[in-house]
Amino acid sequence: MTASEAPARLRAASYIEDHGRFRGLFGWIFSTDHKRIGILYLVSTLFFFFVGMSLGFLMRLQMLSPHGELFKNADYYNALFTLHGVIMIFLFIIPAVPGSLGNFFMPIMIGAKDVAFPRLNLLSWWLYVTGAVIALASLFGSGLPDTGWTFYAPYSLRTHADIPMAVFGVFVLGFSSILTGINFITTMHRMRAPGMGWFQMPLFPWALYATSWVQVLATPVLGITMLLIFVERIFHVGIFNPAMGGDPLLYQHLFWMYSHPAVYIMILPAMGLISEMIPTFAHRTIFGYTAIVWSSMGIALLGSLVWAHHMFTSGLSDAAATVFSLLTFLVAVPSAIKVFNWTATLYKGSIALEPPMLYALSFIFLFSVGGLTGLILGALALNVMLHDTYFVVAHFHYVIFGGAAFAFFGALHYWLPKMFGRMYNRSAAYIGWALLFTGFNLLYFTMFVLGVMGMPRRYAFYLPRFQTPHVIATVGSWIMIAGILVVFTNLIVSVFKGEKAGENPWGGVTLEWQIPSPPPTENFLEPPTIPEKAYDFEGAFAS
Amino acid sequence: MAVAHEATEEIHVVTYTTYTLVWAALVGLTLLLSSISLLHVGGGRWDALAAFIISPLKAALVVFFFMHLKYEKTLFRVMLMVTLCIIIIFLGLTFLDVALR
Amino acid sequence: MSDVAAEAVRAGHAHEEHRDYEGAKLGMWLFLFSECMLFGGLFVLYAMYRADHPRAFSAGGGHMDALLGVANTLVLLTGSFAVASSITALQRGRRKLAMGLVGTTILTGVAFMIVKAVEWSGHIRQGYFPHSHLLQGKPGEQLFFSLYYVMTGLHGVHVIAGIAVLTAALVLMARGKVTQEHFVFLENAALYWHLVDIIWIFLLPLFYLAA
Repeated sequence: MTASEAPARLRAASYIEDHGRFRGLFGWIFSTDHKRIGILYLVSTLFFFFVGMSLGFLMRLQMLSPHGELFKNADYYNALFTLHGVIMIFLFIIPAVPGSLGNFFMPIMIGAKDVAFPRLNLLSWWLYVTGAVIALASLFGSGLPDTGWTFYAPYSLRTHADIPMAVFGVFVLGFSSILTGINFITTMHRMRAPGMGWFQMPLFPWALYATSWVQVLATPVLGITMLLIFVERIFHVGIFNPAMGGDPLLYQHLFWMYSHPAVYIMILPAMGLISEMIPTFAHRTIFGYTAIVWSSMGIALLGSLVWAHHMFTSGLSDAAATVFSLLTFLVAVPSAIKVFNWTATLYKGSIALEPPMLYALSFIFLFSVGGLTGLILGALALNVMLHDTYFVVAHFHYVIFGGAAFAFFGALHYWLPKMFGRMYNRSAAYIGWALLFTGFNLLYFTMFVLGVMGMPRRYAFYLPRFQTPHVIATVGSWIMIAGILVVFTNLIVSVFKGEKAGENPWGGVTLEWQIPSPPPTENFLEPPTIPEKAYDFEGAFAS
Repeated sequence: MAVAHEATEEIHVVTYTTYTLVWAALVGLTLLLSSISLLHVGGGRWDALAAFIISPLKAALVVFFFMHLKYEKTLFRVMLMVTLCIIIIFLGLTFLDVALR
Repeated sequence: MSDVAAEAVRAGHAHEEHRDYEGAKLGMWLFLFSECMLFGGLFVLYAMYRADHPRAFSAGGGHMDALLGVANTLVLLTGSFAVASSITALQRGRRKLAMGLVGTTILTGVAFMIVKAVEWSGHIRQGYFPHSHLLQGKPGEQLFFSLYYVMTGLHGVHVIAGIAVLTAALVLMARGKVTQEHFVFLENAALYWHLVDIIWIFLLPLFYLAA
């Protein structure tokens, strides 16, 4: 570092100190700095995670006894699982990784100073908040939403709940997602630093690129579906109403045309996070970089073609069921390629079992369980028995929670030092992880058993023979929640009181580790040095 | 960083003549399609075929000339193809269900 | 990184505007792709319901005023012609001509909406609307008209949005913010208008020439 460069680094304000045009809170909520917007998403999505988690907690309390521990009226339980789904899916896991970590780190990792459209980025966040408010406002209308997060017609057309408000909220949220996708695609095409070719780009940006295409092309289909429910309820137009010639199965087709690709919006960025953490904590270059790139694009494409596997028991034609089942099996291939490559990266690596690495390893295990049980569900004969049972609930919690959310939590540990310049408490991190991992498996593995035993999902009451597994699962939920509280207390306290962290506590080789912690507003005070190969641990940047 | 390149990239200016010819073709195709349908040419047998050929052709004229796609980078054309393919696949797979129930 | 940009970064707060012509166009095209998917869902519905009720859809088409549909198509095509030409005009430095052409496009949009309003009120007066007495017991025709109102209605919303965006372009041209050198706003506004035109190109045979 030359004498002239040293003072520049010390002098430049971090993005936290540099409030821009407005002071205080307004400096945050009207900022067009991708890092501040990332923090806005982080705070809001985590807030909704805790709301959704509380609803889940209540659901598990209800399930302690066959006649309902909390409510004797199923309506309240219906509202709980509807809201739990809507909040966790639309207000947490879909926006969280792209909105918070994607916004914060993608521009830095490609050597850019911001995204292509910073003001659009801020608008995306405001649309997210607006959509959330509208969706939650539906709680205070004519009745609690009770359709499940899937809003199936014809029930959604008839129920007394304030469905128009709820679906309009989802419509607005969709806009937020689309604009983020547009922003990220343009950013990666146009703003990579010189020397950062497509195949020098790290895998988290690549994952976001694939995700963004799904966001841009699939989300509008949800938009039109929600709009149709809205118009149907308000103007009685009758497109899905069987009494007027409508076909409820077409609602399901349109709904899942988005909502299946949506799960790839959830998992692809998370897989990108794993691809970042594993090389760093194995101190080895990633195995099969190119295969991981192509498998991300492959998952995005194939994942958009399997939607009707949610409809195998709804009355599909045999031909369609067969084709969709085949496509569902095919989409497992690129996912498996990634799992093999991550595992291969560990081989002969110098593994540091830091908390982020624990989460990454947990991901590989939990996602594999979830993915394999997805194949079980994709088999037509098995699906007949398992559809709408707890087996499905267990499957998707393994992939979305054990997969996407674990990756997110791990990455929060990985990047907290960079975002805030502070380190978390390692012991608390380990304890939190242990409780979370144990409770998670106790809660959700038991659900596989419940599903095979025949326990239906979305039921407020059940036959006495299911009670023991339900109690085990609920106790598991308590352990898991305890773990989550430990994890987040640790992270949040560390943001304000943690030990100061340096530029590169983990010895990472991607561009974010070349800049100060926390980063200055402009990201790079001097032009970044782009390595010739991504994840080059053996080269000049080996720590 | 990819900062302003406007001065260095060649921006293609499409002539009024090109636009006029395209507009005339569009009007002609519209009238052709409408006549086939409304005058029941061939007893209505050609209606669907005409619509399936002429409408995409009109759209292509608008996309390639009015929207300048002919003069844009290949990347934009590839992206458009991807979008259209997705729509066609959605139609096809849904049809696989609806038509064969 | 170019010398200019590096210096701006070192200066701390670079207030130079980040202009990227290709990037702005790319962003707009991506948005148009999302619009294609929005309407795409409706076209999927139309295709499925038509396959199920071919004769009823034909009958529905018979109640439409095909000449109005064709007229509206020609109106929108002319508007597209005008706005495309306006870009050429602006690129050649003919600002007033460009503004006139954009104004013409806006007028075609307004004309389109007027015709639409006349059509819709006509249909409603005649009794062709969902749950109407006339359509009772005819589920296929009900679906035809439901789709008609939803698809042309959503399209109409986009025409209005297009008028708004073109008006913004007009104002910005008047104020000298959109110029011969920096015209991507007009180009993007025009792209949006052309999409509105293209959607109508497909709606024409689906509803007006369905008989």
